[in-house]
Amino acid sequence: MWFFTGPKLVFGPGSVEFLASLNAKKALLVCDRFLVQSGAHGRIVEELRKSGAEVEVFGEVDPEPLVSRVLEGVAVARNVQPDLIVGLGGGSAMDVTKAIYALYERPDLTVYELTPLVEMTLGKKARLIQIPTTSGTGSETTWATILTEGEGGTKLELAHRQLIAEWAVLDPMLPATMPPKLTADTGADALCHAIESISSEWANPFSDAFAKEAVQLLYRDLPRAVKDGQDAEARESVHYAATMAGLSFGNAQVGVGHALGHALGSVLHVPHGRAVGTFLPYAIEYNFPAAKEKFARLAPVLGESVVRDARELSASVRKLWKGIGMSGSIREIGGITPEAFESALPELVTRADQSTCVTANPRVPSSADLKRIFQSAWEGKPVDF
Amino acid sequence: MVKFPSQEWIDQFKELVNQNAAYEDAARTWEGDFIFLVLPDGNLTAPAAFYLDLWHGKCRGAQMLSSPTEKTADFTYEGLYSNWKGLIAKQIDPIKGLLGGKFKLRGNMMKVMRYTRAAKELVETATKIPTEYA
Ligand SMILES: [Fe+2]
Repeated sequence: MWFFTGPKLVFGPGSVEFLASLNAKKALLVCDRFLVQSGAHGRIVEELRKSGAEVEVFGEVDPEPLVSRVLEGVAVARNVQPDLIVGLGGGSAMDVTKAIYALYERPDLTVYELTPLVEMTLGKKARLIQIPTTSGTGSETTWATILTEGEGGTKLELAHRQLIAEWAVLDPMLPATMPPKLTADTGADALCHAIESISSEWANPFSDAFAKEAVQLLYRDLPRAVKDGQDAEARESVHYAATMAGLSFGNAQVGVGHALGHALGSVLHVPHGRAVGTFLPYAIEYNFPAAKEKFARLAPVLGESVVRDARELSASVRKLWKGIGMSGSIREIGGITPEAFESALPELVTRADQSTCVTANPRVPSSADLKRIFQSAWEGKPVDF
Repeated sequence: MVKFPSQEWIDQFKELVNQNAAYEDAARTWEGDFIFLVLPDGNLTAPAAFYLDLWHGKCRGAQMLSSPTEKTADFTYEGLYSNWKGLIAKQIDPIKGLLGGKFKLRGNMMKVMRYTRAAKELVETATKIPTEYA
């Protein structure tokens, strides 16, 4: 017995207008700080007001959000008493929104209790809507929220089915202003979600269906969206592909690439998409011996000869990465000296080892394996063990 | 063949866990004891409980309890007898079993989720015991 869960979707250019139909009395909009600074959140506030709602904005979310930021947001929510909570932004903003929503609904809980084993029914005080402004994290569809315990602290990988939004609003106009590097990083994250969920031990026919379509769209349209941000067709395609990939991994799990990526992100402060994107070809090579049949499901999309050979498959990702400017190795990310990498290596291995992302990875990595993958990815040498 | 549940079974389990290098690696920083609770169904008519003292990649002690309340532990992992059979036969994944409701865990879930590889290795160990059921 297994499940497939996700939010209801409203999509298409201009779909933020949907917010005007929600009949809320008080809405709390949680969003990234830079969206408030640029005024980009104004359109959403306007639509919410059209519904007759009073709107309060908590626009304090930064990248790699801390638990303390969530608690500030919870205090705002308790004060405002919203009947609608809207998350707007990238993965960080939507993750923070989920945690604020849960702790507003259940004041007796702490963030540490946002795990699948705690019995909770949310939605008694407020509805939850998520609006992604980037195309990649899939957080609008998933039950997970990634928070950081304190500056430089461990990433808490929290999750509960009740954290899935009622609606995800997919308006491809919103990511249209992303600069090329952010488009590449977030799009790479989406491809990682799709490919890692295909090879997951928990993959299922429904997650596979979304993953395959996401891989097809991203291979075809991500280079276009990176090259020309004004290519509306490519933007729309990549935006929906990211949500499909989210639906896929949200119901099947990611894998070792994300475990390595979370470790690199928290220890050496590499943005999430850049980190997991860098590791994807190495993760494919490592997992391939244990997941041949799973990767073969991508044959209709990438071709039989590509998916039947570890090196061919990783090479096809490397080729795509080259076209969008994604790093081919940790060294290529820049800003990390060989000394800094060497001295961080033990901590990187420990954090990857303790990541929930390895739970459903097709090959169970020992700490020695993780170390070797990190070293291969540093040097840019394919994983051959 | 060794009967499950029995003291003999948990003795073998302890011995095999202590020979499992992959478990030792995965659980090298683990600190915390467990009660494995087997709830009756099918041919098992009364609950059975095992106490396991797991510490830094080793099993320091293993004991079948005379009653589930004889000892307390940091964690309790519980499920029906039929689900334990599924787990030992590797038909049920220990973590997926939790998420799907076939097993329940009491204790710090966050801590356990950092050691899912160790949990898998414990199951791997259990599959190596030639087990027979009541
Ligand atoms: Fe991701």
